[in-house]
Amino acid sequence: MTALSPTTPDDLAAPRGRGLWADAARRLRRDRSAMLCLGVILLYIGVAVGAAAFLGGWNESYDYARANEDPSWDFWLGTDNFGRSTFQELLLGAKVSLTVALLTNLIAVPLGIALGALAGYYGGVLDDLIVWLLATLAAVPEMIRLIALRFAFSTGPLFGFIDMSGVGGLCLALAVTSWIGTCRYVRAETMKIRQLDYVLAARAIGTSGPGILARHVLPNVVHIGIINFSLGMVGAIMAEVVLTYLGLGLTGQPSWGQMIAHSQAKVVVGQWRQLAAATTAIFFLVLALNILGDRLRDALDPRLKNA
Amino acid sequence: MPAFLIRRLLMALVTLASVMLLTFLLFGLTAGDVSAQFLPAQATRGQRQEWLRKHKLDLPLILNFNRQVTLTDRTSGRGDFIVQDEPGSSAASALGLEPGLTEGQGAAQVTRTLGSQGASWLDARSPLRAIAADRPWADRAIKGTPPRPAVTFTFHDGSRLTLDLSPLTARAGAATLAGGQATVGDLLALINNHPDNRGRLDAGVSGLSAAGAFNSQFFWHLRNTITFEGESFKYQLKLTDIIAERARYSLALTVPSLALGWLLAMTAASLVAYYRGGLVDRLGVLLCVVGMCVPILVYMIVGQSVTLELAPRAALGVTPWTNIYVPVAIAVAAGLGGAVRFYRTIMLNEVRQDYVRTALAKGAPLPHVLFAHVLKNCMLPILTSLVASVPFLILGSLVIEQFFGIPGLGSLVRTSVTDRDAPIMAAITFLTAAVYIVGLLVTDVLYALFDPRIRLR
Repeated sequence: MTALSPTTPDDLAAPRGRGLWADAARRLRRDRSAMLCLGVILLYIGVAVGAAAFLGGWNESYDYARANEDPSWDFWLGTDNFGRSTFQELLLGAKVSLTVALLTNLIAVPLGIALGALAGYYGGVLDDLIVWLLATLAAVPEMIRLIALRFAFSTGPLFGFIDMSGVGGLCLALAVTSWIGTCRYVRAETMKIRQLDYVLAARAIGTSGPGILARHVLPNVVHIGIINFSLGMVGAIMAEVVLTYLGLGLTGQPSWGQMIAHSQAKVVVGQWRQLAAATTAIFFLVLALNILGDRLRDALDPRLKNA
Repeated sequence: MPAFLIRRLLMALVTLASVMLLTFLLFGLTAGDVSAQFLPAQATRGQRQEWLRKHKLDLPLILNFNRQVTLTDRTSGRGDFIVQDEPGSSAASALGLEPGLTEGQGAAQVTRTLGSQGASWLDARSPLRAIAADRPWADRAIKGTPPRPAVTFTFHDGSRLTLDLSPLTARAGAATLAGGQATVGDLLALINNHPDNRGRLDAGVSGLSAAGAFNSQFFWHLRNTITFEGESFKYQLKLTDIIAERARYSLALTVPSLALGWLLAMTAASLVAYYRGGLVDRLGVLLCVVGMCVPILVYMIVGQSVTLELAPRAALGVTPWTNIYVPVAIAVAAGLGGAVRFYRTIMLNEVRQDYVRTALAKGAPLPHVLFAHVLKNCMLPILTSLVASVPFLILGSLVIEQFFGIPGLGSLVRTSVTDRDAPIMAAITFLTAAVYIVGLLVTDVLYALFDPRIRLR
């Protein structure tokens, strides 16, 4: 054994820098407000799961003797016209908002990334087709597009046999509306990446198209999806409220949209607690998602790193 | 430049056509038979057929290759003939011939078709069931005589022809159902070979024609979309009238709120950008974010209840006319947060540019740099965002209109959703898309004209 160890190939290699993801994770971990926001979102998800598990009987818990009560130890936020606890309704409402927000983006973001990357990488007819689809959908203003889709889905079973009136149809309508932004951005980014030297090198050594897409393109566009996921959840939560008011939301289960939408008549007679409760719940969730989205953008978008 | 214009125009036309396809997919194709939702529960099959025919829903979806059994008046070659059931008979309506003249039949039409839609495989060997309704041909028994399926034709020259159709029914002479073993050929022979006919009435199976092929739901949808002449399922009004009447209210709401909102947002954004990094900036951004996190419905509910406290009569409806100020103020307030933040981002991007540093270095005062140099360069992205709000000029803010009882196009959307009125929804979707597409077209052309950095390719 000598004191000087022989030089290994590892030492000769360039010093390992942190990758984009490790770097981003480190920045996010240090960012107190981002972690706080993440904590808030996880808390909401926990509440949604917990409420769905333990408060399932709320819908039928009528108690007319205790209708329209003020807050008390039994009912922290008072009761509604049927004597049901507003606090429990608030907790249960988290389920609809979060399900809609998560499911919508689980459809929209992968769809946007996949189509955007395909269009940007392969170009040609495929690109034309996807751009045509984008342009057509984007030509209809967002709210009208949403209403039109939801209208078509809830008219009856689609083509006579696909039932789209439930939460799946709602999320699909929202997703068809919100994938466009992700797709556009990913497509533009992919077209730039396609020209880069490492992609040319990969092509030169014979890597297949799908291989390049999976190994070299996707890792470089996924951050767009992550950022848009957070911001897309905001859009879905807000849209659920408006759609519920227009009679195109989900029925039969408590949701913040319904708590707000049904408040128009109640506020007039002084019952503002449901409105205030649902608004507050939405406010903090949306605030957390907005801030997290901004922080994710700062952490993940290399071009804004030094700005 | 002309080449760019033509190319851009063609693109806009393609997008418009695609939107028409989209509205057909969403409102024409998916629904299926919706007649049950618009007719009373006790409506007969005939009434349903009539409703479907009125809204062109009985036609084939894309292309019409259907053959039909036709009756042609050979006495004049012009004008229509009248069909009437003899007493006790209902054969004419069973065959899809409405008694008397139907509306909208011009003088040129000398052919009337039997059955409602026909089918591509229809020929003389087809069973009569294919074109006749499955119900009694003669059900009103007249005192003393058995019911008899018989039809009288009155031709254009005034002569008449009475046909006894009882040989075609399953049990001759009785009040029986159509069908049995009779074929379309039997009906044609009965009419053409009738001793009284003498060539006046010609029955046959129509061939295929190019014009007939476009008589389908899809092409009617295209036509109605372009002309806005589709008919509401619910109301007897024409779409053009409905839109013209309601657009006034929407414009009264949206024009002031867009203009006011833009002015306020620009002022606030300039201010925030002017004090960038300072207390005003941070406070402004915080207020914007807080404003953006509150659902728009909450603004309305709170705004309305406050108005109810202060001036109860101003909280709902459009009489008196000044009530419009309340929703305008709420629309401005609800949109302010997002707009200020958006304009601030644009302005800050511009503030970092080299020309700003140069201008400041040569001693130009900051306000002058901000408002004369920066604002000018911010105009392009700001204009783009303004174009995006152009469709809502017509449409109005649909939630706010519904909320404050303003009878504009926005509340029409809500009503149509409740009524499941697909033609109106299709028309509104197309209208807003068309306005948006035209807006984008105009912006692109203006950009190309005024911004030398944009090359016309």
